[in-house]
Amino acid sequence: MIKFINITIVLASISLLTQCDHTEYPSGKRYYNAYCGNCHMEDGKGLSKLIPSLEKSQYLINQQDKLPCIIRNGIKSMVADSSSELQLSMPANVKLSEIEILNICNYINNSWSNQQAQMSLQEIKVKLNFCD
Amino acid sequence: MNVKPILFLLFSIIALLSSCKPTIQHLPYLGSNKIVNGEEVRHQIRSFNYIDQDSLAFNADVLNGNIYLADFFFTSCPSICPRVMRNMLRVQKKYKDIPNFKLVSFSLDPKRDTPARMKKYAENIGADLSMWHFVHGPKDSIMAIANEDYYVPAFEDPDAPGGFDHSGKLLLIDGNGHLRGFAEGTEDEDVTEFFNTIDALLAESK
Ligand code: HEC
Repeated sequence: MIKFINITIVLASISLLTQCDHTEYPSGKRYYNAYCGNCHMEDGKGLSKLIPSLEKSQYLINQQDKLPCIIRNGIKSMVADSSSELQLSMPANVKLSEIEILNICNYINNSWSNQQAQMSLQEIKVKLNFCD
Repeated sequence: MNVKPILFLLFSIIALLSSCKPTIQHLPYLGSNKIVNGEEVRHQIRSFNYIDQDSLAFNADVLNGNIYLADFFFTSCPSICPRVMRNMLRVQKKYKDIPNFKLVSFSLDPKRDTPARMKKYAENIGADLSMWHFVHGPKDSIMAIANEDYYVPAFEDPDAPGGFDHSGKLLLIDGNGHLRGFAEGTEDEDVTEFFNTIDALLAESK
């Protein structure tokens, strides 16, 4: 009987752990909604031509190596703040830790219809060493 | 002497008087009334003289007789504005075929938000400029109408993201410049419920 209970507990904890690690990214989602949601929105779709959609973003697919740097340093708009041209730049997030950046990367990479390989903390550290 | 019955009578009269207008779902008039020359007058948006994204005059004449939804924003706003604008776009989509219904976005940052820059912003977010005006006016004046007339807290703050602190409220104004409803422009569900308020005002003014 004791054995049975033990096994159940072990199985339950495994399923709990795997849920958190693989199927969803609850903490990534929390950070994303807090730091990115105002602009890219909870559904990742952004705002028309002003803020790019992160769903099916070609940039996101092609620039996986740059993603941690983008999150940390933001994107400076190319166009100077002249009177008629307008380009919203993306703000930096210098306070986010490497783990928080990791969680956000994995969340946006695997949310909505996005499907990218999962990143590890080690990869994030390496990529962050090569920011422009 | 007992004043309670008198008060009660007064309130009943007021209630009776204010319920005279026969409408299905009458929206309240918001804001505090003022006493002018001994008479109580309803809170009303003051008249102003600004310009829009095409540098055309934007004043009471343009708005007179129109129901409109107002918000306060600035093009470089890194915080709540995109969310609020997305909800303004939902309103635009729902009411685009209603004549006499307008959207009005006042810039809190006239120094940077020239008419040309606002026009570019409007095009980028997909605003329909036949119903939506982006408004440029002197900063002090815009701040004053935001805080005092539309009841939107707004002020310059070097520590705030983008340099301005403001709320993302959407304000519903009737054809006579009276404030009739509001919603949190950052809250999608609040805006969904707000459609009922807008519908009620449209029905009332038919
Ligand atoms: C103030 C609004 C704002 C916030 C907050 C914001 N972004 Fe952005 N983001 C932008 C804008 C604007 C661009 C486009 C910049 C450009 O290309 O000039 C952008 C671009 C991107 C891109 C490149 C996508 C593409 O297709 O070009 C990614 C990825 C991205 N953001 C992720 C994030 C993440 C993750 C967060 C949260 C940590 C975040 N953003 C927070 C406004 C924002």
